[in-house]
Amino acid sequence: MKLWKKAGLVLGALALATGLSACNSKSSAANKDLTVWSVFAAPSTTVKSWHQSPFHTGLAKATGVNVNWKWPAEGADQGQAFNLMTTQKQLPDIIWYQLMDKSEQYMKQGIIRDMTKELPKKAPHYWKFLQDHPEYAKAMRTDDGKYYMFGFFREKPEQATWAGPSIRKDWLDAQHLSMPTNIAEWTHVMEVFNKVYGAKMAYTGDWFNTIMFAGAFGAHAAFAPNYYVDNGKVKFALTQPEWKNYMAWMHSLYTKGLIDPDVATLDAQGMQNKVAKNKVGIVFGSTSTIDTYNTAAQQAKSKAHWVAAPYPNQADGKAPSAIFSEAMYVNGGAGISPDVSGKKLDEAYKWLDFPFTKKGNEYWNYGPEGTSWTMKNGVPTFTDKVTKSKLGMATAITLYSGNLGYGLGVQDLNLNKQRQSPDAFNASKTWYANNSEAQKEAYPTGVSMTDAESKEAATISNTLNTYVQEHCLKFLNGKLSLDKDYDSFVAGMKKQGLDRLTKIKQDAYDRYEKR
Amino acid sequence: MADNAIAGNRIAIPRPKPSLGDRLKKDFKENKWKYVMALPIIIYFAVFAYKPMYGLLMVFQDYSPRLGISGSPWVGFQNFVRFFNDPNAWRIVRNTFNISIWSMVVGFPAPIILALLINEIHNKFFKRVVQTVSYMPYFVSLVVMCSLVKFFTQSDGLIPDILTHIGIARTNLLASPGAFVPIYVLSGIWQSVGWDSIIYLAALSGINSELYESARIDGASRLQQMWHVTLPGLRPTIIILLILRMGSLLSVGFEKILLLYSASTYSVADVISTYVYRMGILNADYSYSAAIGLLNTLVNVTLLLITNKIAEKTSGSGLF
Repeated sequence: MKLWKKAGLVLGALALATGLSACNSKSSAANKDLTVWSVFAAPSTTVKSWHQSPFHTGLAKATGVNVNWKWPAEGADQGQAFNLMTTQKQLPDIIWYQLMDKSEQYMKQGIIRDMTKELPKKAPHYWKFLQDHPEYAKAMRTDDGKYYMFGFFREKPEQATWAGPSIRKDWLDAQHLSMPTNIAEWTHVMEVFNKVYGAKMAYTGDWFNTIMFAGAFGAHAAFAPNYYVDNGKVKFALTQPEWKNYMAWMHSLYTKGLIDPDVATLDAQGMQNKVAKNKVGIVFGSTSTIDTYNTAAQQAKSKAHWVAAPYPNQADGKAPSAIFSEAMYVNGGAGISPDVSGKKLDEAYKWLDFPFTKKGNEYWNYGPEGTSWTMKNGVPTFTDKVTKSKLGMATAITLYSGNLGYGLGVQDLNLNKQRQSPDAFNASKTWYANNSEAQKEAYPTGVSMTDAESKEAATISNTLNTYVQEHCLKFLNGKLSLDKDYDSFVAGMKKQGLDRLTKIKQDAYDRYEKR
Repeated sequence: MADNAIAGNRIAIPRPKPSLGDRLKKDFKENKWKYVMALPIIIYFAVFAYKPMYGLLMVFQDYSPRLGISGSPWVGFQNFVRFFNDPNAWRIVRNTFNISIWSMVVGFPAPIILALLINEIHNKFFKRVVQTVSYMPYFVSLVVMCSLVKFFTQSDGLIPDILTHIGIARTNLLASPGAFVPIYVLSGIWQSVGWDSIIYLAALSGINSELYESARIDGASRLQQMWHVTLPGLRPTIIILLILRMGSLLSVGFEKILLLYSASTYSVADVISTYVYRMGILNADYSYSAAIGLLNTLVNVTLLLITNKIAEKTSGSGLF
């Protein structure tokens, strides 16, 4: 009998514990603080929770609004975490997520509210910012003109071009080669690198490698499906003759042994190993990979020096038709739950409007004034507390700034200048250089589809993406011939609904342009 | 007469059966502790196996997490129709069968053979070393193991190094479709053969040693002993494990494929579970992937039942 009682006790205790924790989560949602569910602005990894993060605690002080932050568990799939969060009856007050793609659906499902009527009064600074930048305002509202989120923007376009080709500068110098500027010169450099150092070109399958050298051929995609806009007409990049030319060149590089044979399975870690072993001399990567490689080289006492190389021009000297670039705005932003009302609603707007005030902009970029930064010659400058921190400057900044990757408000160019190494900071400039035209042909991020459209498009593109990736690799390594198999490749895409997908993209684009 | 009639009555009219509630009460009183012992596992199955079945309703819906099962619109068999029209459907089914049949044909006998070999070793120290070394890889995390496989098979890795010596051109093996299934199957054997052989070794130790003695007296060689004594002794274990294995024929190791495949090997490596993952988790197409998963399970159950029937018919020992 004793055992029976004990077992009962344990079970009872378990039930009580789960019950209590359930109560806990309810009561914290019901208390006065605003709740923010976010996939962005996670606290620095050097602190245990946001309660110890100077950025997050200081933000409450600066705005006078107490906020209870929540992020998905580290390493969790963000989309899944978001879907799980939306199953709760009581939604968080503020939801900061990639809302742009399905803004209309989220509004219809009651996850975020229509801010149109409230914005001018309750968030005057953001409203004014949008009035001053009609291009941004267009992306922050739906086709019906409903405003749905507080966004994140860049001060200068080069902040959005954070990926591109980089090259071993020390090898270029040793071989008395100048920085290559077109495809002929690039091919030559690759041949020299391969002959002298046995080094090849490599890249990973990351999304920022969607363009690579394609722009030098007048094409708009590398190995994945991509759309662009040619005089108001939406076009699929892989069915254009320019893409075929680009692919033919890549295939010729592959057969000459100038491209690393492992590119199909390469990830960031595998790439870094190859870089460390001097097996690659040209990579496609981001500003931070340049820093990673250079730091690793210094630690290994190697002479390796990686710098960004400009995107090559077209054969006739024209600027490339496409480069990797994000828009000046991003698809992530903060929306407010439709259930929020009264004083809490005012607070939510106040808190979200803050990044668009002068003070708020400084705070989100640099942290609390006087602690992490001071004004020097009219330029916000990080103090010794940050620059000479024991944690290292890059880590120390994560304690104070909210606009490092994606944030809220406007990311200052000066922030990047102060936090990045000169090589990384110049990389963005190099990649952007004279490519403002190329960005204009990109399919706008702000376009949104209707519920029915996005379901149909997802069904088509899910299978299409796999199909295209597989075939591109086969065209690269020669298992399929561009001369013989290209037509059946295009026919295969059409069979899977490419024309319908292009039509949907066109319709959505037309509506976007009419906004 | 009267006595007879009474006696006859006693026989003809049985005592009224105790009601179900009474019987349960009595049964519960008698087997109280067994129920207590079974309770955790009953709770486990109720919570983790039966309750989630409610979620299967979503295969007939256009499920949206916000609206939930009660609020999402019903679409009938649309998700199943979509699967049969999916250009990748045939491929993922074929790959699933291909990979699991190869893992089974090559992977299932491997631990039996290893157990038989270990059984023949008489040096105790050597036996232990072999056992320990062979089941060590089982304790290596799958993620670590897969990155080892990646390193060994990339163009400058160990295996292409060896292959170039016998005149095979250096390539990235993991990126060549022809090599994916062998890599998958062989690395699987490498990881689990030692561990899987433990259960056979246990069964081997249960074989009566007198049988060997009499076989030896009859003049059986060691090979004949193995064939006529050891293998028949292992048969029940082998059959049960085979049936269990058949039941999960279509559930090939999803994590491992996910860690090893790439776009260049989709044509042979993309299986039902990885496809469900890409659709359901990455693309948030919950209803569709649940429908594919349900079909997968139906096939598994069918295969399980068929194998069980065959085993019962041929050897008399089935699972249920």
